[in-house]
Amino acid sequence: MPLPKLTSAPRTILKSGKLVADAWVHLGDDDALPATGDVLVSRERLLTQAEELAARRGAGHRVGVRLTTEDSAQTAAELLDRVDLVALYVPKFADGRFFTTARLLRERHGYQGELRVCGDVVPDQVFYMHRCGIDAFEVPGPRYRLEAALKALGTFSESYQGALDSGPRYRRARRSIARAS
Amino acid sequence: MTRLIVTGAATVDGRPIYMRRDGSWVDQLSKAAAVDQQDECDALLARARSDEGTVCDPYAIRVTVEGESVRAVSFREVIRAGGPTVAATV
Amino acid sequence: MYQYDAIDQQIVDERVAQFRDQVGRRLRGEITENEFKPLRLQNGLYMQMHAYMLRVAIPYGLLSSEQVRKLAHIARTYDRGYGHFTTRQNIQYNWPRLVDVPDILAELASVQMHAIQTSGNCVRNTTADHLAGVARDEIEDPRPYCEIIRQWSTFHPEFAFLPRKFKIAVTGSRSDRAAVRVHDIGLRIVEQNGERGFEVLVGGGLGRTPRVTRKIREFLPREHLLSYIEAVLRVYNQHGRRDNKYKARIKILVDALGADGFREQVEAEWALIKDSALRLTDEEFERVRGHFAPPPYRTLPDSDGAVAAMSLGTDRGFGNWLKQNVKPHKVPGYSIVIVSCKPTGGAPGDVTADQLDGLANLAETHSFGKITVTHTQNAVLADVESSRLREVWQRLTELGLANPNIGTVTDMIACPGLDYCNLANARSIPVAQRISTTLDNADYLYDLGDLSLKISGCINACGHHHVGNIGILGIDKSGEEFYQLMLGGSAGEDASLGKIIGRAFPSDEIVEALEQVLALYIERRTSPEESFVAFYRRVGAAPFKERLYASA
Ligand code: SF4
Repeated sequence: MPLPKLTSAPRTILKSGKLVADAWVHLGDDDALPATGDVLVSRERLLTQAEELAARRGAGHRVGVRLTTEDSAQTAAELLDRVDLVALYVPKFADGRFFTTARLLRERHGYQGELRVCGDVVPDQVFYMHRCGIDAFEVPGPRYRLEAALKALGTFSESYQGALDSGPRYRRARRSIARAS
Repeated sequence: MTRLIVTGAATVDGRPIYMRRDGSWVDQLSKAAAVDQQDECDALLARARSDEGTVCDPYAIRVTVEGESVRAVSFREVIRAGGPTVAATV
Repeated sequence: MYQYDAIDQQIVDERVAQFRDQVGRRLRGEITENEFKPLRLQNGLYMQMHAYMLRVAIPYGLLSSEQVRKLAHIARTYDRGYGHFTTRQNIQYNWPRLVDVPDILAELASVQMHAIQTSGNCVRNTTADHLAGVARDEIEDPRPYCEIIRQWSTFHPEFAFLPRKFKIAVTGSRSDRAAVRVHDIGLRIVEQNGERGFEVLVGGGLGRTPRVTRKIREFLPREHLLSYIEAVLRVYNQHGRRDNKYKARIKILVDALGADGFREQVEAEWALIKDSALRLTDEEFERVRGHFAPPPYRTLPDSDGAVAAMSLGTDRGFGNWLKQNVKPHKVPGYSIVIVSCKPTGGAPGDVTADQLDGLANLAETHSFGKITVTHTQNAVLADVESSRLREVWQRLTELGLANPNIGTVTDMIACPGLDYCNLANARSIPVAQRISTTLDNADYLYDLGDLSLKISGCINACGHHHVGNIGILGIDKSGEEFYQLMLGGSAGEDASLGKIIGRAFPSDEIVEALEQVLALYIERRTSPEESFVAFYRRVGAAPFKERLYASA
């Protein structure tokens, strides 16, 4: 089944705060494995084609897994030594489970590689995603959406609660109060 | 006999607006295009859906037409067309 | 009350800029209505039947006079001269234009207010006892904790797209005026071995599947407040249903797992995060609590006797108001005044710009410049010197805010219903108005005693009809408005859900049906001390059914 709103390579993505060219290829479960290049596959395919994909990594090509919102961080954690990249596929932007998955992958399971989001990515969610540890964003649709996403990274310069980028406000050094009351 | 009118909420302020045959919008139910045929209605609706700058979430309603007077069939649409039935406030 | 510092201010200012940009993109056609919808909703902007509706957050219901004046200004400048207090202590405007909303939000930000998370599937405004800080039965003021929760929940990156909306209420008193048992999380401040903490209740709510909360923790030490809520939210975010919006609230997950099963999951998650940075520091408690220090009360003699004597005086209007709308204060010489936003024949909870200005002035001269909105759609002047009650009464009478009906059947809750609301099946306000006009007889109302009436225009239950001693629910029967009557609900510490008494009544019979219910109660109660709800619990539904339907 084709996954809606998945973008195809080559594409421009938002990564580590910049718009960059990206060539990772999303493979469906029935798509043939190309001879070379970096591929993203489903969890099922990663497991059923384990040997072939491991060999591919050995030959210098990268392999990533594309998880769905049904997959928990725990499930994802078990795959980390087989992949170079974890992508979280979001079928509908309102399905907010992936925020928890992302955060737990980073905070609880110590994942340090690229954590990408793809699918129904709405530019205005990017600020939240980034705070949950997602560092790469495939944004479908016209270019201005990607630009909006870049801008959205900087929507807020302060936050209250702790996340990947900072601890909770009450544990940070208190900034002097600018406004006289 | 009932007819069909395409309506939606104006993007700028959310007020109920109704579609005319030429694709423009009016505030009064009685000035809208009241069509007989489902396919005519579908065509208007398709046009409305491509006009998101003007209207949000367009849909069709049933109305009864007697001479000059046009009245929505559903009670909800009657209130929508006429405004709240309660005075603004105390 | 809480005062923003530079960081708080920056966050709301940046929110205004963000929404201005989003509105611009919507109007330029760069985002579709479908994409814009969740963005506007996270700023409390709904589309209703006749216009947009903007819901402004009033954290735990507390406002300064300056803020109230700003609300009046917004009503006058951008709306039609009035606003509507909601059952979650917020205020709604019924007629804003989309293009004006960024300016309205900027006006709000200038007085440390916002509309953040007043809608959408996120953590909503945390509500509290409206007598917080002044109630005699209070263990501790809940508002500092609400403010801590407000800050934690504001733009929480993990919980902005929950399966459904999420409401938290906190009470610090023995009696429950905050309806904590019908919230997604209800917190009761309790004490154990000299330590402050919370009893944690989860999974309450109304709507299609009404539920009273289930207790998952007897005692949560206060420093773990945020880690525990975060654990609850994390379990809910991962496992709450997303396939059906009517089954997506946390109460359904608690039903599915059972209170014990749910508790196990929460406690397992909590064990992993309780000693993380989420653990609150004493310094933070002190910082926030400092904002809620009591006002500079004067040292005055106790006034209970004096108020009682005044209420028996010859001026009946004033006497009735003292008895119904004035409550005892914990500080000698002071009284709590409940401002009735339920005038006879009016729309419950509606306030005009002039009334708001009048209230702001009155608060300034007579109540340390603060006003609290109640979840029963009234307002509170919390700190009035008892010797000045007559002045306050006169002023409120001039403003049309002194109807002496607090706690009576005409102090009813009603949702906007089919006059405004897109989801409604039937109108609520006209029914409320007819009831209040029909029952406008002080002696009769006082004879009925404390009795809550709650009206919703559809099953979503914004009018809390399930927890009214008497509830009225509007339904649609082949295009006509009908009303179901429910009896026996309660929102307090004895929370219970009302039961439908029988077939629904058409609009022109519902008021009479209500009168019959009231008449039966008066005839058959053991004494005026037996409240309506106690009477219902004793006799059950049968006599009411007989009275209402026997002739049919
Ligand atoms: S109860 Fe129904 S009619 Fe009333 S405000 Fe809520 S959704 Fe609208």
